[in-house]
Amino acid sequence: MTVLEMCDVHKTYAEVRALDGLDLVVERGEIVAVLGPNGAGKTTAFELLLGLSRPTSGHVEVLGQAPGGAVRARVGAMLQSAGLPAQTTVRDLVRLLGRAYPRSLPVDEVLERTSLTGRAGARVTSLSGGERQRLLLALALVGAPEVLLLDEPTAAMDVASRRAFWRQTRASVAEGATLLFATHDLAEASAVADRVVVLHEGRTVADATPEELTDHGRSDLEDVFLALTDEWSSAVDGKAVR
Amino acid sequence: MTTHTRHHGPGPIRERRTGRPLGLMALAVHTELRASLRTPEFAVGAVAIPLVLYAMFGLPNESTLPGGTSVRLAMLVSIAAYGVVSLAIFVFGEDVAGDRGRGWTRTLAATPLQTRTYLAGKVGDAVVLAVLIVTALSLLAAFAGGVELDAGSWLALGATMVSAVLLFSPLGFAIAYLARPRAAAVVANLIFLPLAFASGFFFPLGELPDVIGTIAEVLPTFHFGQLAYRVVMPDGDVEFWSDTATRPLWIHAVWVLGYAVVLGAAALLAARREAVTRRG
Repeated sequence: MTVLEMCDVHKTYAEVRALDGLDLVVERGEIVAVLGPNGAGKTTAFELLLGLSRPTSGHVEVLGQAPGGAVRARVGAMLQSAGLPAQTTVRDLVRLLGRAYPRSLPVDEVLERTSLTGRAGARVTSLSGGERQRLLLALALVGAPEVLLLDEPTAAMDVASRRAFWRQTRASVAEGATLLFATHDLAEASAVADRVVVLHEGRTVADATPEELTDHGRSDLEDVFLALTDEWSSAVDGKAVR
Repeated sequence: MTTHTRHHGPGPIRERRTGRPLGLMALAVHTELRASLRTPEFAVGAVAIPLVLYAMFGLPNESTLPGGTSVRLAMLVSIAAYGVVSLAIFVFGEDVAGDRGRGWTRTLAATPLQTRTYLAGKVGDAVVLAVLIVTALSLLAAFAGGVELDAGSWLALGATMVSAVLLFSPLGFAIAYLARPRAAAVVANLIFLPLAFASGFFFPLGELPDVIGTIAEVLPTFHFGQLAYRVVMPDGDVEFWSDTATRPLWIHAVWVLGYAVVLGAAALLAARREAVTRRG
C-alpha cells in the first residue's frame, strides 16, 4: 500500500524554485532516507507532506488523503525548524500532545522509549540539544503514528544519543509505522534506510537501495552522492579535493 | 471515554473517542497554568506588582469622595483593572509571540492539536491568574484598607475584572501576530503603559492635564474603567474621580466591545496572512 506519494511536484517561493518536478513514492513499512545538499528541496518536500505548505503544482498524498487536516492524526513529525514552549515540563508536553491524537501511547512508555523518564519533570529550557531532539521524537511518537516524517532528526545528537534514537525509531517501524527521514549523514542513511532517495535542485536524481547505490559495496556512497549532485565535478574542477 | 487495546508493539495504545474537545482544552489550560506558575518572574509580575502598587498608592489614602466612596475602593478598581488588562495583553501578546518566535506554533501546526485549543489554554490560564490577582487585591483592600462591600458587589467587581481578560485578549493577540516575535514585549509595553496612564489607572484623570482626559475618551481601557467603577461606586463619585460626566453604561460597553471586535479581526487577519504566507 502506498503511504506517501508526490507526483511531479513543483514549489516556487518568489524567485526560488525549491522543487522542480519531484516524484516520490513510499510504501507501508518502508524506511526511506532522503539525501541531498543544502537547498535540494528536502525540507520543502517534508513541509508539503505535512500540509504546512501547498505545492505550486503537482500532486501530494499522505495515506491516500490530502496532507494536513484529518490525516495529521495519523502522522508523527519532527520538523527541522521545530520549537518547544519555554516553561513546560517534558511530561506535561507529551501528555498534552498525546491527548490531541485519537490513539496514543501511554506517556510513561513514550518517555521510556525516548530515554526521557529521568527528565520527565524537567523544563524544556533545561534540556540539552540531544534531549530536545528526543523530546521532539517523543512528541512525534506519542500519537502512535502510521507515518513518521523526520527532517534531519539527529542533527544535534552525539553518537550515543544517535544510536539510541535509531533504536527507538526502528522499534516504532517494527510495530508497523512507515518512516521517511532527511539527513546529511550518508553513513546513517546507508545503515538505517531500506531505500535512499537523492534530491538535487528539487528533483529526484536517484532512488535505490544503499546496496544498489554503492554497487554492492564496490563504490563509496560519498563518491556516488557527490557524483549525483554535481559536487564531485565542481570540487575536482576547483581542486578542493583530491 | 478511553479504551485500551493491545497493539502489535510492546505497549498498549489508548484509543479515544474523537469529537470531545473539552477534556483536551481543560488539559491545555492545566498545562499553561503550570507553566505560568513555574515562571516566578511572570507570577511576580502579574500578581505582586498590582499588590505593591495598591499598597503604595491605595492604602495610604484615607480620604473619601463626596458621595462617601472611599478612595481606597476607587484605587482598588483602578489597580485591579491595571492588573487584569496587563495580564491579557502580556499573556496573549508576549507569550504567544514568544511561542511563534521559538517555533512552537509551527510544531503544533504539524499535529492534530488545533490553534483554538492552544489559544483556549492561554485564555484559561489568564482567567485563573486574573482571579488570583483580583482575589489578592480584594483581600488586601478589605483587611488592610478596611474596604467594605456586600458579597454581591465583591462578586460583581470580580466578574467584571475577570471579563477584562476576554475583552482585552484580542489586543494581546493582535500584538502577537502583528509584531515581530522579538519586538512583541517592547510593543506590548509601549501600548499598555500609556493606555493605563491615560485611562486613569495610576492617577485619577482629574489630577492629570485636560488633554489626557480628551485622549482617554477614545481608549478602550478608559471605557472599561468607567464600567468597573460603576459596579461599586455611585455615579456622582465616578464623575468626581474621573473628571468626566457619566454616560449610559451601554456607550462604554460599545467602545470596549467595538475595540475587541476590531482588534480581534485584525489579529485573525494577521494569523491568516501568516498561515497563507507559510503555505505559499
